[in-house]
Amino acid sequence: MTQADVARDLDAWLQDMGEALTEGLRRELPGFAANADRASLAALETILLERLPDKFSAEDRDAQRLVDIAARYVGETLIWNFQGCFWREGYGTFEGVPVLAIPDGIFQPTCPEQLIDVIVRRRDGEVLTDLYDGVAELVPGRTTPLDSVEDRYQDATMPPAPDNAEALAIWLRSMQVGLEEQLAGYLPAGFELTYDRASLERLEAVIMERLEEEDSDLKRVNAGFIDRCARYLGEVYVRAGEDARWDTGEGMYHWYPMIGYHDGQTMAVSPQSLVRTAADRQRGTLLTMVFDNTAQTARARTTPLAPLAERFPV
Amino acid sequence: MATAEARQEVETWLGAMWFELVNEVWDKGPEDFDDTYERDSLDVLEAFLLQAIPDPALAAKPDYIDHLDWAARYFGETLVERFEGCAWQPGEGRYAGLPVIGVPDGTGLQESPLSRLNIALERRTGHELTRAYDAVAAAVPARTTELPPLEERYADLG
Repeated sequence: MTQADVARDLDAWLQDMGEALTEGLRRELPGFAANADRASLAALETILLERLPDKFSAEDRDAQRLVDIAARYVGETLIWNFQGCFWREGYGTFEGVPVLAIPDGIFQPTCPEQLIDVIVRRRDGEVLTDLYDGVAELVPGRTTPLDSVEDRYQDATMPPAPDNAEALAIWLRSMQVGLEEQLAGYLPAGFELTYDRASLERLEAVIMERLEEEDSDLKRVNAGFIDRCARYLGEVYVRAGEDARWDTGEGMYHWYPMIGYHDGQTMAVSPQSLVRTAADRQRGTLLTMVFDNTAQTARARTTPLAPLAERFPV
Repeated sequence: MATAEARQEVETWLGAMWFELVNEVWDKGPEDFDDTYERDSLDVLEAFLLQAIPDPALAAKPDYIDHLDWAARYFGETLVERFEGCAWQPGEGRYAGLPVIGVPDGTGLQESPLSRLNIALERRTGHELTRAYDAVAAAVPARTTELPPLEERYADLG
């Protein structure tokens, strides 16, 4: 096969940020008030919906400069407003594409270019503010000052994509804060975090209520809720099963952290997928049913577990 | 990165390129089609498809799949013939599972001929293929390195 030399030079892409967000922005989005705030994201989305008139528009080759400038602006607005966000090379479904690393404990990376596609397909005008609000819920506002875009990126190199194990390790670092500080905020007052089978029915009821509306699991403002519930669910398995441990995903779940057993008889479980499925089916018994099925082959835990802070050091 | 399996599937598909484009033009292409692999032939091809497939929902029906496959090959080969560095490769991301054209324009956006044809059938402007062609032309130099003739280009594949 003849091979096209199409791999993107992500270092060059990053180093072009200054020009792109000054000259490029003026050229592609004349009149746009680039204030790097939430309101400007709403305004940008309105402009994009006018300029990209149908759901196929993000695939138009002659719209790629606009898509690129808009994606850069979205990413830089998050970097400007929130502590610890940075560009890095994408992984999983975003391999070779710039993504934004956001310290929100959400496993899936945020890809601003893909968000432009979501904007033109969903066409509800709420994608970018939903993203901003979802990040604001979990990530502190910026307190350390930033250099200008030109200074920050003129000699920059794009941080490489993490492999699966590193991506999992990064995600696990948020376990203690996610479960001990943030989860309770998503649950009804008095919800006891007992990490046992009996709590799964109550958890499923909360999931069904919050994600009752169709496609609500796709909204960024629900990403933290889904992730923290999945962490809790996974820890129920870990605390019940001697061989259960957090693991990298495989096969159709390769983009999710899993609970693996490696005992030759118990299938791995994807807590994220279970939370979404529980919301989708609205049955109320899915989590306990899957837990019971797994318990048929998994060895019950006999060895005590260390506290979260020891198992998942930051 | 595309898997070895995806690469093999594309290579198998490419192996039939010469036979399909040269021998099947009468059955699957426009009547009296002047297959020059030039820009203006794309409008003729698109007009033919819009007439042959009046409803985009029909595109996946068995009666039309061969027409679309043939047209995708022709559109893709037009880009390969005309622009330096354009070449078939396995699709990635939204185009996973499809043969696509890698376009060295720095955007990272692959050109999926089959997807472009489906967009053309949806929008029905009659100029979606030339629009994509022009966008490639604006960023990628015209081909200067010679290609093997079509009958030899993919002969070792499939």
